[in-house]
Amino acid sequence: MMNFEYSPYALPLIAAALVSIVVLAYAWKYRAANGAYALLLMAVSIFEWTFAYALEIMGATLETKYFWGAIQYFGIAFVPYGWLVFAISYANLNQWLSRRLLTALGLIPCLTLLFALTNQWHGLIWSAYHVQRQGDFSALGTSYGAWFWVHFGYSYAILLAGTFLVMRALWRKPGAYRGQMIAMLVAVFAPWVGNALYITGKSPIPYLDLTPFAFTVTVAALTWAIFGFRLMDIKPLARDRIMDLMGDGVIILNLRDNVVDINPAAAQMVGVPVRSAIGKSVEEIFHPWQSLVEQLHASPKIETEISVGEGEAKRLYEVRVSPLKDEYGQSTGRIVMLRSMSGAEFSQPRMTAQASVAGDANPTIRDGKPPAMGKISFSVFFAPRIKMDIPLDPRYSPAWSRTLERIFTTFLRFAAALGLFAAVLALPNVYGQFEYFLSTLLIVAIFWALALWRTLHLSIRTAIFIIALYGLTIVELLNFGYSVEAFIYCVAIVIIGVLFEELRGGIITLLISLVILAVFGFLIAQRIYLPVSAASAQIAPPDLRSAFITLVTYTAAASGLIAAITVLLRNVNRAWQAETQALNLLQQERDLLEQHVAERTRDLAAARDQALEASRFKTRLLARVSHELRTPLGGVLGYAELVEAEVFGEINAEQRDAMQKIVESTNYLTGIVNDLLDAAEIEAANLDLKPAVFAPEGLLQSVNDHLTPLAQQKGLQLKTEIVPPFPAKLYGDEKRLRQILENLASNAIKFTPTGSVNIRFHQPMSDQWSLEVTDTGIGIPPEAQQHIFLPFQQLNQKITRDNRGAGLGLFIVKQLVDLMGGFIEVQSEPNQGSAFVIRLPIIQPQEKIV
Amino acid sequence: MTLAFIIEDEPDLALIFSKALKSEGLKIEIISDGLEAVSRLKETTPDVIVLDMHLPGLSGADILQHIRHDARLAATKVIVATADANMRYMVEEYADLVLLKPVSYHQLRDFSMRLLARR
Repeated sequence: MMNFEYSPYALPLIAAALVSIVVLAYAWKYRAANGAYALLLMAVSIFEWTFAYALEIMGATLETKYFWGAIQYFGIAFVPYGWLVFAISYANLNQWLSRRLLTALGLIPCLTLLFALTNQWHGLIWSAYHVQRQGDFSALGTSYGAWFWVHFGYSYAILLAGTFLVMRALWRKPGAYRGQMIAMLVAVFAPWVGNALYITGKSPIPYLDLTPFAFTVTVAALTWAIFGFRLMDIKPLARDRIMDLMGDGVIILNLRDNVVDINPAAAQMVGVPVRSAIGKSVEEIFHPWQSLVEQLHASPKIETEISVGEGEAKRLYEVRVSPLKDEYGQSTGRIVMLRSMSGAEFSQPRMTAQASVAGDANPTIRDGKPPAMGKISFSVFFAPRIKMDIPLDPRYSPAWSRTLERIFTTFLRFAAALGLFAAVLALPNVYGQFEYFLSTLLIVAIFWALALWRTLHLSIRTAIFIIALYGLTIVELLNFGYSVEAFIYCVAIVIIGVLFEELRGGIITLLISLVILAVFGFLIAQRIYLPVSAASAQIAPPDLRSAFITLVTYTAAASGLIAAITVLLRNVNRAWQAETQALNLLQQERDLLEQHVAERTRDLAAARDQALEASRFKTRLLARVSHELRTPLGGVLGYAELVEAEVFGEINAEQRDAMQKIVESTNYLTGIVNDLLDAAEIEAANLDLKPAVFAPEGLLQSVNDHLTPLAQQKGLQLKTEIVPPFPAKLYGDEKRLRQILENLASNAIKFTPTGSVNIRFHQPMSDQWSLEVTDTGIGIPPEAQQHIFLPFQQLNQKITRDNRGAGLGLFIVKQLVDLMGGFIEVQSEPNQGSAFVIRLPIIQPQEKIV
Repeated sequence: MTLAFIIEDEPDLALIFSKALKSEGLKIEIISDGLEAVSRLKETTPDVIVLDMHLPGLSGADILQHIRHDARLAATKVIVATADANMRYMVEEYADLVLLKPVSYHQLRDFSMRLLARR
């Protein structure tokens, strides 16, 4: 026959049992996930342990207590076992989990349970037992038997092993999931802290074994870490450096189509930073590509394309979506591959550019300069401006990060100022409650520090602030019990939590507040603890019922706040996200355009270089060919002349005529070689003028020297003249000027049968000089005058022995005159003669030729 | 007697040049190697030199350099006969005359006589 009596100590145990049931349900729902079965085992064990412990405490007789005490051993023995199995799964060492190992590890827990249930026959667990009472608290008092110590040692050993494995795995995980990391650390250390408190007797609830509570915390934290972050739904088969470095985009979706992993390339392609993409739904991630979202909903396997950008910058991505299966063939999610279909890959540093694009929330201080220091106005202190150089939270857009920081700072400055004011008001009452006053002052000081130190990371500031507020709450509870202030603090904590850490933050802060308030409510209502400063008649809560009502009211109000703020934040964030994504895509488009322009420029430059190279090659080739032609031409010319000059003996008239024709032909060929070379150089723009100071008289003299023999051969007169006043020195490329004059004059000689050829320099204007070559030759008909400066043009196209030539001479002259910044004109009358007039600027040596 | 060096590795051209100058009564020495030319120039002081640019041993430009650095050869007239159009501009300021090949027999004879007359 079981007999029970009510004990308030059972309440926290029953609460823990309920938490384990929730965890159990949750773990069951996602039992396909890695490590979920171990979590299930832990949750069942903890539930059994806490529930049986509660019944042991409430048991009215020794038999009842003994029975439930023994039953607890199922939980006591199997919680460490479950923890180790979980740790092995979590550390991704599933290959260890053979049936043999599981059996071997389970052997001692099974024996422990067996011995506990059969203890009355051998006393291996408890050698002696009795009812132990301390005030309201009564439990089984025992002396431990031999097997207990085996169990004890084994449990600690496998707890330690599990802790080691989890810590090692945590250490090796990439740091992207801070929240999960913290939850895992809580899970790992809770049993050790609980145990330490129990063993050292520092437990806040005297006599009660805290170990099952600690494990409740562990299992809850694990559940939250794993399912809350939805990271172990799928085996971590892709979180890998390779994935981070891949050029192709990879996105891993879980069964609910939330992003559980995304590599930087994919994040770039869809325009969302990696960290803020994780946890987002496909609707959010692929928001700009609605048809893709529809296809994702419609079919598990997809092959399609998406495009980013317009026109030049348009980029196509091939999208392949395929299901992911675990080793049992069960679908665990999907993998989305994005591959660029148009060449070059992205480069990394673009993310920073995005940040700067998205970051200018406050254009007035965009240049990063703080507002003028020196006079800090009151209003600026309490309504601080957006600060640009704060550490940014990667989860949010920079603008939203800065806005949050501004809200927080504003909030804190008010809180700090008012807190100081309140502390001053409380001064007259410090006698007798000095500790209370001091701790308040300390907390206010912390508020001030947080309010002023804006460059400290916002999450750290928030965390410290919330901890300080909890401290304030506890001080308040210790002094006054349930007071309005205590609840105000608790509401403030929840607001801060939800505002800065979203729904999670709100729920966590609410739960912690509830635990603190419940513990104090329970202790005070049961008169286990009496608030220091409250008159006994006013002690709140007066009983458990009113404590419960107060807590329900608080929960209702705080939950309402959490819901309202969450909805608000969701909407704000969605708007922000859309904007950021649009900006990122725009940036991507811009980068692509730039890339295109750069490519074009490169191509053009390459084409130009190629053309220049070809042209240079042509010039070199011509130079080489002309050089090779000149040497044999020298032989031909020289020998013909020697024969003609009768150096080798007398020749008759016919032979002389033949020799003359050889000489003429050679001269003609030489002229062509010269002209071809010059024309090629001019065409390749390789021809540079080499200006220097020269004497015009010398120039004219050398031309005269050169051409006189030619003119004399035809019986012509070559006259040169400088019309004074004319400068004694000029600045220019003398050799090219000579080439011009020789070209014109030799042409004139060629086309003039009788009469004279005149070369004349004069200065028509102060800044010009002129070169004229006139003849009394056949002249140029007006219709031909405009063509004569084009290459390969010759009058009538009729080549006779007298006038033959490559037709390059005048072309070269025109090009050279252009190079010198001058111009050339021709005046001619058929059979009257021609006049070529060149006008050139008079350039001072320091000036450059255009 | 006026002495002329013809520094030219092409035997046909050397022959033509020598005939041109011989017809004016000059004493001719034909040298076909750059190094040999320099060693001969150390011993002898010719009145006129017809110099090719592309020579075995030592280039015409180097020989020209050598001549212009030797005070003993200051009065020596140098006629450069080259097939390289670009070379023409490079050596013009050191040579007394630059003739672009093909060099006419008459041209060489007349120009060298004119140069010698200017001495």
